[in-house]
Amino acid sequence: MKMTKTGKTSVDYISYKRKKTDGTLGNNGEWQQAERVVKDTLQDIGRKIEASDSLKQRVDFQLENRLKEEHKMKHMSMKKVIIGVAAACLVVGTIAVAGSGIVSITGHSSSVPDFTKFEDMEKAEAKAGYSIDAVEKFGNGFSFEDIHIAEEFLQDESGQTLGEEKSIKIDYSKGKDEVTLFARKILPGENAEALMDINFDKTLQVDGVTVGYSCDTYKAVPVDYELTEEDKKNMESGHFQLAYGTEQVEISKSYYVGWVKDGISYCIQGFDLSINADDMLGMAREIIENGNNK
Amino acid sequence: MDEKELVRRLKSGDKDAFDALYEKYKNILLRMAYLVSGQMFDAEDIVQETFVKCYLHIGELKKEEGFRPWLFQILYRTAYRQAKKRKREIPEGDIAIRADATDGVTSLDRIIETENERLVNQTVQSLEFKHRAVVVLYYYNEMATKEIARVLGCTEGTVKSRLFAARKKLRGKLAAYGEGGRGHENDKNREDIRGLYFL
Repeated sequence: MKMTKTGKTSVDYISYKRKKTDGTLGNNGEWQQAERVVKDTLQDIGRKIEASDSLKQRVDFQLENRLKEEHKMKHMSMKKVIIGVAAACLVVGTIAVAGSGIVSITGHSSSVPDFTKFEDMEKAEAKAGYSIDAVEKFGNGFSFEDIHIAEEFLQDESGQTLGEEKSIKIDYSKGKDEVTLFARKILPGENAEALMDINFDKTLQVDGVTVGYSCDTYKAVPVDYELTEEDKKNMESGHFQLAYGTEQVEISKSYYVGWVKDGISYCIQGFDLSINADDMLGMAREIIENGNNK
Repeated sequence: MDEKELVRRLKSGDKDAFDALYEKYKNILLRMAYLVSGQMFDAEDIVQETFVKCYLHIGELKKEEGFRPWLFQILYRTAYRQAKKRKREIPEGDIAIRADATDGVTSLDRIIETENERLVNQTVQSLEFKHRAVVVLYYYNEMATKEIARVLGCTEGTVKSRLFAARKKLRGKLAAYGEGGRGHENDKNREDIRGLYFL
């Protein structure tokens, strides 16, 4: 039986009230006694609550992510915010790794390129620790701009880092259009098929490799933005993404082609491009064929 | 090390100071968050967000001695937003799944054990958020109305007025239980409460 601070047990007090005939709080004396029970009972409830160890892990994990995010946001334009989210299609997200349970991958790269000449491709590959397929110029006119090496961290549910990976990002441009080729080595135990489990608008086979194309709408919104009914409906379509962190609502179209080859996951992505699905699939074909002819 | 020194160190980015303040306040905040939200998984989310905001915004705290009410203020604002969000978007099924998934002493059965606890908790949870917040700070934290005003960012007069309204509602609801569980939809609950004559 639990003792309250007043020295009265819960049952004592209930018994006392059972003696009443109408059950009402008719006078101040009764109400004061009732207030004491409210106070003691709330404190009794409180005393039984203890923070679990996992709560601290959650706080630290969330804090680490928010600090990274804040740091990135300070150096990002709106476009880079949504490009960062677009990169999530391939390099950031939650994945299942055999033997490790569910893990997440978070990544970041410097806004300053690591290399500015295509001839430095070998150096970039050496820095990443693996080789990829790439071209300096595409048949449709997109040409090489620079190379970034991004760090990705593999974390378990508690936020503990299980390992690190490096990915390669190559920027290309043609007039006002800009696209990025993202490439990263698939992790040991990672399900490569799941990477292509996307609701593509169009697919193409190139020398036994399946390439998928999709066009999605990205809506960049302020952090306190509240979803509209239309947003919720669009999100269900699978071709609509929200990116938080801009001052105003801005909408962009993302064009994406992705494929997996020789243990490397690739995608080419760009916003508000003046090219179509076949152009994008053609760019993927050039990279694959160029890699096969090496 | 005293709290003022820990806060001063936290302002300069000392993570160890943050960890020490976390240890000091983790249970206090979790208990307050639970009493005001009525759900352990919400309470954990509220506390998590409160500490994250504390770390990120500690530079905005002008006087180190005001840390405690400032921290409580973050908690209540976070809890308020959570309550609004909860009303909008969490389906009943998810609540059940999340409740089962929490760890530690988080099951409602292990927290709410006696009839007194069930009835008081039920009555407090039935109040509007602004009244519930005042009730928890006044009865659980045993804070004076002036201190509550600092935490809630309103005048002492507003606190007194909310406390008056909250007491009136508490009194009415508790008396209703005494009369036989008036206002309860569930027949079994009504029978239980009628039998108890809590107040």
